Amino acid sequence: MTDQELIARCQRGDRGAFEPLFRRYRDQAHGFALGLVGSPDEALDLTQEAFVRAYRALKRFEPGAAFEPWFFRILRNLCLNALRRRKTWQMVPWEAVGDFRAGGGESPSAAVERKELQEAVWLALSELSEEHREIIVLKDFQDRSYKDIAGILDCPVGTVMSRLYYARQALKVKLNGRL
Amino acid sequence: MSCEDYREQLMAYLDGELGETERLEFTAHLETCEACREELEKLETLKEVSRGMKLIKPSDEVWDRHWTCIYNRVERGVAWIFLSIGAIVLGIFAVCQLCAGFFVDPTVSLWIKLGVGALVVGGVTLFVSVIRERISTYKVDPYREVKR
Repeated sequence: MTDQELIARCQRGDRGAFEPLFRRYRDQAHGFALGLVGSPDEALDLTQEAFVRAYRALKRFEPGAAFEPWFFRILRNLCLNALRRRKTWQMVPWEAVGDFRAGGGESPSAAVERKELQEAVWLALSELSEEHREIIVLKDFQDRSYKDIAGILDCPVGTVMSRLYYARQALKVKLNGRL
Repeated sequence: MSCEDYREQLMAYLDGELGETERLEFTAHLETCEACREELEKLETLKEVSRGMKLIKPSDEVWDRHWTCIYNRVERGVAWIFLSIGAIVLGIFAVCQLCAGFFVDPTVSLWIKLGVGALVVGGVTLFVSVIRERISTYKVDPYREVKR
């Protein structure tokens, strides 16, 4: 069933129709929130809050509009607000958030090198501005198209390209010659 | 065009988002520009590393617990709406009953009745005005989904 069909059922009062939407977007939503706020538990809470708010706002949702960018805009606003409320902030170490099951077939030394580089990228990411961090997460971690990112960030594709350029440059500088 | 002018194309080339003509044009530039080739190489390494960074996903059990929470909160939201409507209706009914008894009582002076009447009308007007303002602000608030 498409997002639009599920939303139409939700708008008619069928709360159960929201579950497939939740299942469809929960992992990506959590990944995006985790990349932005840097804590798995907080990312889970923010994802839950975003789904509750999205459900409550579905009555005002325009028929035929795309659910995903709209939902991710709600989540993004929640994440940015959570970050602004913090007085001190530090991302959880890469050890605690990285999924290390991938990378089969490589030598132990290559695996160690890869993990060290990933740790450095994760740390560098935490030092970037929110604007730069979110675009790196959307493009490089989640492999979204420029069009999708433009929908989520509510900006033209040209802005996505230029923001991505500055974000990658900033990340490169933070990595300080490790590439 | 200078290298500066090609930086957005550099991103789109790296991410496979360039059209055929633009891709050919940018490839021709790359062949003649060592600085852009070096920049592309570094960015390709960076992209390869960050694309390989997979974040942990919560287990199905964790998500099931969160879905139960979401469902309960959504359901309770509806319950709160009904509870509030019921409380408002009963409150209005109680005030009407009290006022009706008060205003037909012949032992109460006319001046006191007028004073209480004015207080009630003023209070109700203020309440309705505040509610109306909150609703109209909410309708045009682009940040209504954002927790303050």
